[in-house]
Amino acid sequence: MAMKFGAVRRALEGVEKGFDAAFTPAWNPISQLGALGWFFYWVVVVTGIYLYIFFDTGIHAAYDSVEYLTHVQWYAGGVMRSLHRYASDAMVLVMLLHLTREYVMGRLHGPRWFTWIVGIPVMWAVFASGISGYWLVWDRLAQYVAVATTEWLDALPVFGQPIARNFLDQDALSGRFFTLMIFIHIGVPLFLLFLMWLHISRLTHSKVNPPRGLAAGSLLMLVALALWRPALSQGPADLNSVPGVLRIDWYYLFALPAQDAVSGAWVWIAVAAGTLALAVAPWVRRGARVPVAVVDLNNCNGCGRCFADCPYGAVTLQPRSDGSAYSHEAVVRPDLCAGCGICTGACPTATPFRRRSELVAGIERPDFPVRVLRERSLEAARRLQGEARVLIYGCEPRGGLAAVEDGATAVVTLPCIGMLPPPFIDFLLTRHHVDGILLAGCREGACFHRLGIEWTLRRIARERDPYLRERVSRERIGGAFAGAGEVGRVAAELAALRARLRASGALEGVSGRCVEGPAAKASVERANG
Amino acid sequence: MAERTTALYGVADSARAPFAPKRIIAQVLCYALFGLLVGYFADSPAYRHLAPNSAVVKLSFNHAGAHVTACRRRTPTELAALAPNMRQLTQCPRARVPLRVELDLDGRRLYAAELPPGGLAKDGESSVYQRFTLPAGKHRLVMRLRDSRRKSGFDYVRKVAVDLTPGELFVIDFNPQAGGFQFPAGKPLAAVGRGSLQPVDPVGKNVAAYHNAARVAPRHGSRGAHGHGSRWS
Repeated sequence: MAMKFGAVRRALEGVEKGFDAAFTPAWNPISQLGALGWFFYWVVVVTGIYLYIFFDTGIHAAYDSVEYLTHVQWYAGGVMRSLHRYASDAMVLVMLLHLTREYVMGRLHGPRWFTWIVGIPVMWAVFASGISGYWLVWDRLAQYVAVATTEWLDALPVFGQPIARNFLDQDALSGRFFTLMIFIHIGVPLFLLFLMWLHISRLTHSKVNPPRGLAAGSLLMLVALALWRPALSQGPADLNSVPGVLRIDWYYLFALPAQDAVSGAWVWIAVAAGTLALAVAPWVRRGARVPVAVVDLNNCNGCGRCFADCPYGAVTLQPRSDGSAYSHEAVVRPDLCAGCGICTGACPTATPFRRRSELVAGIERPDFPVRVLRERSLEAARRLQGEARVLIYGCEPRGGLAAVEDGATAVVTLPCIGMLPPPFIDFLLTRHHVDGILLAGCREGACFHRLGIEWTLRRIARERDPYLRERVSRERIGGAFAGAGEVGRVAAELAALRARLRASGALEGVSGRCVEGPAAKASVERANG
Repeated sequence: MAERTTALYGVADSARAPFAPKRIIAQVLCYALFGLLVGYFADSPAYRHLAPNSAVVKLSFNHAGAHVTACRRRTPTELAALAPNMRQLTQCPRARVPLRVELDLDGRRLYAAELPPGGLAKDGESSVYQRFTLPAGKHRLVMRLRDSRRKSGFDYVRKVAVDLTPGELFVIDFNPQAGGFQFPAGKPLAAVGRGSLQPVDPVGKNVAAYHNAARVAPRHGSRGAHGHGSRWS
């Protein structure tokens, strides 16, 4: 899948690199934007429940109850009110950053269209939730929001009579209005929760909780902000006058001043155009369709590792259809498959040690089967010369690895680093095809296919099937998970790997190397002097 | 997802050390920056919704015009042609005439429109909701409305002089049962010192035609209004 926005993407990766340094990749907030959105949502829900306990529904009672919370019960209700507002604002901020990041990284095409499209009503629901909340305070800002929102809605040819008439004067308003508004302010966020679930429903292993440290830090930040700048009302609403200057929440209310500047109709047109642009984005400049994985039942025993590892839920286990003694078989849903190859990396039959039968994995991409992977790996290894021959497995989304290739360094590119079956590392190192292997994928925490790096690291750490065998020296394996523009990082890790190889004595006794192929044989002869 | 227990050489060994002193300082700075970003735009910069020394006039009402044609008695022949349960003596067409509304400010046309009846059968109320920003101070307003089948002239006309204070909202409503144009916010104005309202020439129904000046663009369109107005500020 072709990467777009090269310069923007590299700029974003530069920012993320800075956050990596400050937070470590595991806590990097930029790679946790979606999870942070969920976290802020729950903060809003919890604080909203507290506020609801004390909120009164009445023209004057609504304002008075909020004032009581803010000033009399400032230590609890006031903090809760401020947290409610600032967590809502933070949610908008991380949501927009999340949208921008996914767009720049190209994570909206192929099977990801569904997640992207559902994200659009999620945004709508977030804004509707926030705007409806501002009505409830019934201060001067609420008055402005109520009038401006209804005037904006009246710009649509939907309502029989102008609903803004409900706010013509104080007498036109009933206390029951607030009962309706609080119903809306609870109902819309509940619907938002459903949409958020739908948003991630096609992804497996979705992160809906940020790391505890990041969550704790974010919450502390919100509490500090709540104490430093408590959310305040702007005087009781007075429908007999028009507020002049307002301190508005730009995260939610930006459309209302825009309406004052142009007109409600033009704001609707802008919103509709923006929504349409987002809706068609997954099908614009999406590149060629990637071949999807296929299952070879002769080599599939229904173990379920591909099912467990697929980031897109494209693999399911179904009852055996070929009369085999195995109970299940893997089945690929082509419309959900992104062609990342992570399923191949998880397949226990994807082992290059197989010599007696044709090397076919139980599940693999037809255009890039493990047989081809072994051929490319061996071919690259044969080209290598020098005392510390390193094969780099890179990933397509990352790219940019040609710059580090030389006589002792070769690159084999995979759709995703997670496509690499651990037995390949075992095979290449223990058979002495190469001296070291460097895994160069996307930035840690920014894997294009979400889980490729995670599964690879866990397989090497023997925490997730298929394990990398213990006999393989970890000192002969390096990792360089960095952005596309960070060639220097790869070069540094490459140098570090070679230094380890020399220091560990892994290069000694090269006479014991496997002598497959003339190049490898020549290499052994050179090493033995 | 559990934490990894074993690292790959070169891969984020820092992931196991988020509490290094330098990192803590950097994280605090990042949180502070994020907090400032959230906190600042939560209520800043201030937005001026209404210019200083300005007031707002809103013209808004729902009102049904007369039926396009009057009810008529059916002839015996027509009645006989109907089913027994449908034999009503009078036949009243549902469609209503559009309202003609005009608003003048200090002798200048502020708003003029034809307000079509609502509903698919054109039998509903006509509606208008217009907001005009104008300088605070004394003004003369003239409101005219035609809701009958007449082709010219107006059925309701009202002239008022108002002294609008800065920030004041002056609402012009319409209620035929109460005599025509109404000012819901008018009564309490004097009491709270917001301004004074003096009906100058209250006129009832069937007033002779006023001058029919050129139309100007409205600030907020009425429901299907065929008029134009302009913002006054």
